Amino acid sequence: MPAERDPAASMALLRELVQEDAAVEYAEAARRNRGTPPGRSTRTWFALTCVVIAGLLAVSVVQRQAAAPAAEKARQVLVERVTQTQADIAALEAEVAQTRADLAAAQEVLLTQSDEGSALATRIGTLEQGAGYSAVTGPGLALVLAAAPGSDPAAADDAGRVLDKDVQNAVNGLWASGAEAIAVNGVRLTATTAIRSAGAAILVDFRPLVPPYRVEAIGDGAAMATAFPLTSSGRALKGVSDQFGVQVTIDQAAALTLPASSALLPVRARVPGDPTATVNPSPSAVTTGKEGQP
Amino acid sequence: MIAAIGLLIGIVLGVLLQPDVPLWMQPYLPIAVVAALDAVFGAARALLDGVFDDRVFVISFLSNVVVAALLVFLGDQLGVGAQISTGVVVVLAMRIFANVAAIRRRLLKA
Repeated sequence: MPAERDPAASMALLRELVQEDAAVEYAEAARRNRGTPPGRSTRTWFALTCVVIAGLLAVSVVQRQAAAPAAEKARQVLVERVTQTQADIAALEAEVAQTRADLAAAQEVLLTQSDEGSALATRIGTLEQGAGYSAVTGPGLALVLAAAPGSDPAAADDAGRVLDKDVQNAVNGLWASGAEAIAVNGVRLTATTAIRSAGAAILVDFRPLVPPYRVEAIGDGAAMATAFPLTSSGRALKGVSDQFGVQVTIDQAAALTLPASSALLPVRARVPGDPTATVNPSPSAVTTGKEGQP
Repeated sequence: MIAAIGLLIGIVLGVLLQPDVPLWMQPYLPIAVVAALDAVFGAARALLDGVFDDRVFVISFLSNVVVAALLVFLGDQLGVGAQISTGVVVVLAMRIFANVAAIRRRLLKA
């Protein structure tokens, strides 16, 4: 301790830490055995210590280097698995589409054998279009939702971002304006298709979509373009557009083609007019009214 | 001379053999390396001061590594392993700084 005390007494700890270092030990040892050369065993120990120190350094550096490629490899394996699974899903979806087509063809053949069947086939075709079970083509209108200019699409708290609520408003407004079929970015909507968000991504039918969001609706384009701004959903969307700068553009289209929904058949369906009867898509499992409660 | 040869052999051995560090030892390896560095810089300073002593070097290295590892082990058992590791590294780093500063003063006279 110096004679004049340090005004910052707490610094003493730091100074002690630094001063109580190897220099003191070496100085003391030097005073003790001045002039005596180190013995053989001491030399050996010294050499061994050098080897150990360098070995420690090398091993820890090598370990660090080895750890990084391992993590990269694990990531690569995961990416491969994701790609593989996506390919599997695509193959299965193609199989589903093929089977549906086969089924429709077989149904067609059976039904066209009688007049009653033909009428039924026409009705099924109409219902399938409404239910999103088959692809539809026709004139209509395309509504594009894009984030406000200059907004960061990755930031979840960005007010200029398009939210799931905005897509819901667009879709609901279009249904209310008389749309017959709607698809968002090529994902066909059915009566049970969910539009929701997961983090910053918007999921339609549980598939993540990439902005901008293009909502295509088949119907009377001119009538829908007139009616849409007057619906409550259209007004809400207009408000979002005015307040946060979300860009909404509506264009009429002469010919739109909406794909069939990949969603499975409804798990439960109710026969209109008969509250107790429920029809299950699989014929062997007709359920009673009690189980049919949602 | 012995030191240079020893260090060279150590590096070659470490890189060539690439021994698998057992899992229980992995938290102690970086601490041991920092403790070893502290001993090395202390030795370098002593060498420049002309008071280097093999025995002190070996003992300071061994005690540094053992005490540091023991502290971290004790911290692990008490549930403050990360904090003790930080403390050990901070203290050793400060000593390394002090030694390097002394070496710099001696070599560069600044």
